Amino acid sequence: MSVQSLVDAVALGSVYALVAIGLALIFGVMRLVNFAHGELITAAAYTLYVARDLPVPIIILLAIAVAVAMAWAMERFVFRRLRGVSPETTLIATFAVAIALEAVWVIVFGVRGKAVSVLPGLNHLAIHGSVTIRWVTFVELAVGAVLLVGIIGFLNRTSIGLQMRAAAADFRAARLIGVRADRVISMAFVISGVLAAAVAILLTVSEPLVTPTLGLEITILALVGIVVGGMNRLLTATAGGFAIGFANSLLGAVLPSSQRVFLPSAVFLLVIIVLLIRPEGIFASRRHSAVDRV
Amino acid sequence: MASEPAAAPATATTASPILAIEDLEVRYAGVPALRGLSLEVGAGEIVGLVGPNGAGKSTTMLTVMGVTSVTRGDVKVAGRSILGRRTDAIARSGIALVPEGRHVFTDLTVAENLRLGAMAARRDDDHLEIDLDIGDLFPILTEFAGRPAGALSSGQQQQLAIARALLSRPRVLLLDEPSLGLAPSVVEDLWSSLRAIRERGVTIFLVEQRAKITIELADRTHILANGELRGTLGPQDAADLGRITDAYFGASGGKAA
Repeated sequence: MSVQSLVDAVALGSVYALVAIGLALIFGVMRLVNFAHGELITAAAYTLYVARDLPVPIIILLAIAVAVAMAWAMERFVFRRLRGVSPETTLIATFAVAIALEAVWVIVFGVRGKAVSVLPGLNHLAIHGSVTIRWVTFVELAVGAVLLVGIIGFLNRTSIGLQMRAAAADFRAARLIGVRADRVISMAFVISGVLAAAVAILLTVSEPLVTPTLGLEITILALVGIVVGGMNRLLTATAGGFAIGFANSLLGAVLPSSQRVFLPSAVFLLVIIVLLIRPEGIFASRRHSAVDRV
Repeated sequence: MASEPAAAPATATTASPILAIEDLEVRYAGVPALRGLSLEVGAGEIVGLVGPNGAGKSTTMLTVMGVTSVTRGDVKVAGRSILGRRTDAIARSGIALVPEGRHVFTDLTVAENLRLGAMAARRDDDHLEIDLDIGDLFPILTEFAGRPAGALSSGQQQQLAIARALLSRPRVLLLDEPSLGLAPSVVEDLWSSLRAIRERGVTIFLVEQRAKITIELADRTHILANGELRGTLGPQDAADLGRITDAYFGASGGKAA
């Protein structure tokens, strides 16, 4: 195991952490696992492709706008109508949205990947030598850290952030004291859209190929990370997302290339072991997990 | 069920009730939980609603808050129906429920819990003309402002839940079984807090299982059993246990030893 693979693993871990934050925010306020979150990533990535001839800042803004609009619309027109029905129904609805959108990507863009290179400069080496680090690694770390700190600040320092934490802790009690449920949920979806766009931008720098299943694959893996980390808290979920990205990247480097096909199996084996040892999540404190969900 | 309960006919209605529940019927999966409940809460009053488990007390509260849907009847606040409005909108219109089991946000600090309550404060012109110095009412909350609410004792959490509701400057404060799970001495403290809150002009609608202390505190207390009112008692009836049990079990229900 080289320092090089550790550096790469940290970078990929940061990207998965961003996916995890997006999923955990929605799970927090709605107790809903949003499988359609990945489609926001895919949508943003295809936006990068479609808008490729425009100036870079505009491409990035467009990608964010598309992901945010789509996140908002998903909530407004699908999940909001299902509020009050059984959680299973809503869960299936998130699958339905994901699959429907994936079909749209296939129809519009085809099953074969589209090449995207928005910020090719980020692939240049920042550090040469025995360990080489590309600029994108630093950007991934920085964006991950800035967005995480920004969201924590938003949750802790603003009124709507406080209302969001209250709604995440006890949705009905929050409504009973006048927290505007619709607004809080919309806000959570909007933020998840921003995060999805950030993920799309960062991912396509290091792997400049957009396929219809891009987002879904990441989402499922990040979701596994969240469960492993502990999905009831933003920080444990984020750490879980980071860990799964980190493990995935590291195992990919450690496994001989002939054995790469077993990468998912190896990751999930790790997950099973973790869940057997600490079913409440690897980063969740035991004291909390017993009482927290109130 | 038609038997007139042995209850004092205390002032049954008020000139302009702040909260009026009219012929309310609520069903859970077809089974009636409330069967035509009517009662009114006037400005500055404490109105009690007592009854055994399953009588429909919490259902009454949740229906007022728009959580439970109604098959018949109406709920009016200051003369206007609030049926069909969303829970959070009802809360912001000046009805604050302290739910059964308190439901403070245990992960948030005491101060954050209170801020959340204050955010729901109505911005219309008929603000409560009351002195809402929470620090004066519940000094412990000022002292523990920075602590997570989960670190408070259950009695302190109940104080916090009430303070949080009060900070929304409600027209009516609804309390659902505030004494539940509290030690007797803690309940005594709580009751003196409620008296202090009433003295500041807050209107209170109190649902309880503990009949005696509720009847003592409230201006009038309705007895609810099996989804309908069995009678109304005043504070003067608090000492008369026979009357209370009669009302509880129905006058024809035989001697309850």
